[in-house]
Amino acid sequence: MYKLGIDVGGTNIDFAVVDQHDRLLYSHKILAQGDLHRAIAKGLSELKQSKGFDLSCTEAIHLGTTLAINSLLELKSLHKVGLLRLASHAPDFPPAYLWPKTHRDSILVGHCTVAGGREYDNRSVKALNNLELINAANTLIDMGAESLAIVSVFSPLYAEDELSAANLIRNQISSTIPLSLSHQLGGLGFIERENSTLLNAALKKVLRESFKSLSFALKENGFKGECFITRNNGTLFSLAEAIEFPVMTIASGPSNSLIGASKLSQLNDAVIVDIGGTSTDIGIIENGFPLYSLKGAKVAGIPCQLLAPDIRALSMGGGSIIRSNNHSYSIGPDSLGAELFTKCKTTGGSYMTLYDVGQSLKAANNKEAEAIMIYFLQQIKTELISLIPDPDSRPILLVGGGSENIPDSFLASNFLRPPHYQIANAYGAALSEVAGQVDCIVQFQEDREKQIKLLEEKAIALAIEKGATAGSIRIIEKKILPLHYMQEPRSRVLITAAGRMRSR
Amino acid sequence: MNYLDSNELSALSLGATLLGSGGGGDPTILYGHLHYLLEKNGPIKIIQPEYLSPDALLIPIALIGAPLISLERIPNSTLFLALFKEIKKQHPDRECVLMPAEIGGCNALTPFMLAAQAALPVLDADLIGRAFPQLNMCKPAILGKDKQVSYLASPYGDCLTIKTDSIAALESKVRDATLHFGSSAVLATFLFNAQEQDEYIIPGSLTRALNLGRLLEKHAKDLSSLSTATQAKKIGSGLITEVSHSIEGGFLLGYATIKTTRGELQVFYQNEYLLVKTRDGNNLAESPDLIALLESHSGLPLTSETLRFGLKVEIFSLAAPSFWQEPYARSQVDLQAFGLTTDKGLAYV
Repeated sequence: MYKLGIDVGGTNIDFAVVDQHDRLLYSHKILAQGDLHRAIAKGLSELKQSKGFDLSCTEAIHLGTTLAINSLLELKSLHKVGLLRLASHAPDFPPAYLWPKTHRDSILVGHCTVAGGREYDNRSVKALNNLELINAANTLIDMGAESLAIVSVFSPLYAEDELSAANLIRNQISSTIPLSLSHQLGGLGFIERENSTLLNAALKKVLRESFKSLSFALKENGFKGECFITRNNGTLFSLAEAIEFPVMTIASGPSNSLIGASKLSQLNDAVIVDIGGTSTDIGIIENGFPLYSLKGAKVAGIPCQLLAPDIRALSMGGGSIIRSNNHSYSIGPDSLGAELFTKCKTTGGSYMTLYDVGQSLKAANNKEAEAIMIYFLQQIKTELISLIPDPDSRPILLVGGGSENIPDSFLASNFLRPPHYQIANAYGAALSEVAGQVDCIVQFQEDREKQIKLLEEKAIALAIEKGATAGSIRIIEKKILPLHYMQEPRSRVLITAAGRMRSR
Repeated sequence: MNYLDSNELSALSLGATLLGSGGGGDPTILYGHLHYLLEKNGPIKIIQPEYLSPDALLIPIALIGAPLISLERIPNSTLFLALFKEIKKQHPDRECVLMPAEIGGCNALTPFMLAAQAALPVLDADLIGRAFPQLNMCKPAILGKDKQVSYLASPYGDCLTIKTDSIAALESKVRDATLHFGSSAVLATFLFNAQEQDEYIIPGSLTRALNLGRLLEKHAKDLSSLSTATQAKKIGSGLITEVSHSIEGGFLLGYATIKTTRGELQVFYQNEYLLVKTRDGNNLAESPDLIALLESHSGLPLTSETLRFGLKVEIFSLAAPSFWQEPYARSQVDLQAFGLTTDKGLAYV
């Protein structure tokens, strides 16, 4: 049985088929044109024709998608969101205040603050009031809210109020209106958790719509297995989970390419430069895992505490438009995207791109092309220096379709191209793991280590239950949030275990 | 500096973080809300100490408690207005001027939260000139201002009046009441009359924070030029190879090891960075000097709770305000006062 990794990018859609030992069997690359499900169906039928690949022998598809991040960046297919703050102290700092105005205006229709939430020690100053809550939710719906975000003070420690509020709304107002509960989307830090929850509530539309047609297209092509979506942390979501928590899929692309490049090169410590059609992402793999950012990732300029790889992104890729002015050059940020091969110079079009530069360097010595290539590599070098102190002494893995444009003669000896570097991202998606998570409040006794160990075992058992191979599981996240100043010391413990999907 | 408006808020926050010497809490806690209030209610007047009217009542204020709590139970207007209402009840006819009790960290912004809502001016001064973890480390405490009436308010609108005869009693009563208020509250203490200002204030603190913040914004991409611009002394730069800390008595206590070109350096902290020393025992900077760790690629000052393995940092030291250079003041905040002497605190390295 096979697994199929698919990476949907701004310019290309890549496919990587692996066997049960994670060996790469086939790969394929097509332009990302038109609707997602049509483009994927086209790629699958090409794979079948050219390589004889049979989708009915595939037990799982791992899809890494930019659907969510793009709909946020372009403000397309988003729900209008109403915000319920369960906060007895009635904070008067307006929500989404530090967002870009266009995002605030197109996402948030309004907010209501009602009694609820807890103190750090679980005291409730004013209890949740059913009537007040229902009135507030109805008010938001009347204002045009299509999706509700519910954020309660100290909910990462005490989730009861958010859960009761969700139940009330389900029972008394609507059983179908999408709800996003903050304790499922972030840790302590009210405003950033609220930001994640608002974005999640807005994003519930685009994935639901696209995945419906995708499932249909896959079935039509004879697919009988299960389709998963890759997450920011390199693990998998079911389609249903991805629809419920779309904000947790938005940084999965860089995660996949870091893991893919590391596995293709069999290097556990390296810097990865992934050059796509529209952008270049630079990140670090340490001990085989992506290095995460210090302060939680920002999404579309909005801080929201997401656990995601620390990535330096350049808006420059193979399809980026190059402009010259008196021997100085600019590359991007606009890209020809999926129209690269109809509008670029090499094929008779009028735009010069990095692809054209690569082509002319292959053909002959060309001073201008050389100067542009040196400029491009200089931009990458600047980012590398800002990321690591010694970029010349570490292996740097060059992956992604856009990297083909750089001739070897321009690269220092520590740059490596792993085998199948063009589809590192899709390969990384195929390798994504299944995770089990434990999230609970613990009152630590004397044998604290043993208590933590038991919770780790519980997370591992959950991962196995979800389909992970027992021997491959490790703990990928362990957070212990102590509740200081309490008479009986208690902590919130959050443990995630992940391992390779086992073959059925 | 005559007014604070929203355009200068990020520079003030950066400079205040630098003056926090690793402690004082992240100004992010108040930044967004204060930006909103400044946009809504307009700029806030800043008064230089020499222009204070002799009858004015000076009110130093600060958030107190655990910064993590304020990040979750975010401050509201009631918190600040309840405090001022109680002070006004005791001093109905006084002209009131606010000031930060502590310029280092989040509390540089605290008085502006009230000033923006009660249309009050803020004095360009504070009580410390940096951040320190305890109330006995304020200038008036060092100078023996033992008897106080202090005010402590919660976001639910409660306000306590706390009368004490000693700094130790003040510290303990305020900590207890803060716990009762959910581990986060706003405090007004060491209130004084304008004529007494010499015994209370470190003048020019807001201007210093703002200027440092502007320079930091300007030199963030080229930290090598920061030294000449700020008279900061560069101590070294390198990768953090080890961070070890624990929470003891409500403080974050620990050290970070940094591998630099001049060898391994260690930075010790109790909320604030207190000491930088070499492996062979040379102290390169120590309290009350200000110690700053800036993340190399962003130029952002790092607070002690954000230090982690693998970060690349630049280490600088800045001179503390002249008040702390006096022997009687210095002895209250030097390494010995913090228990960081070679025979005791450093024994575990």
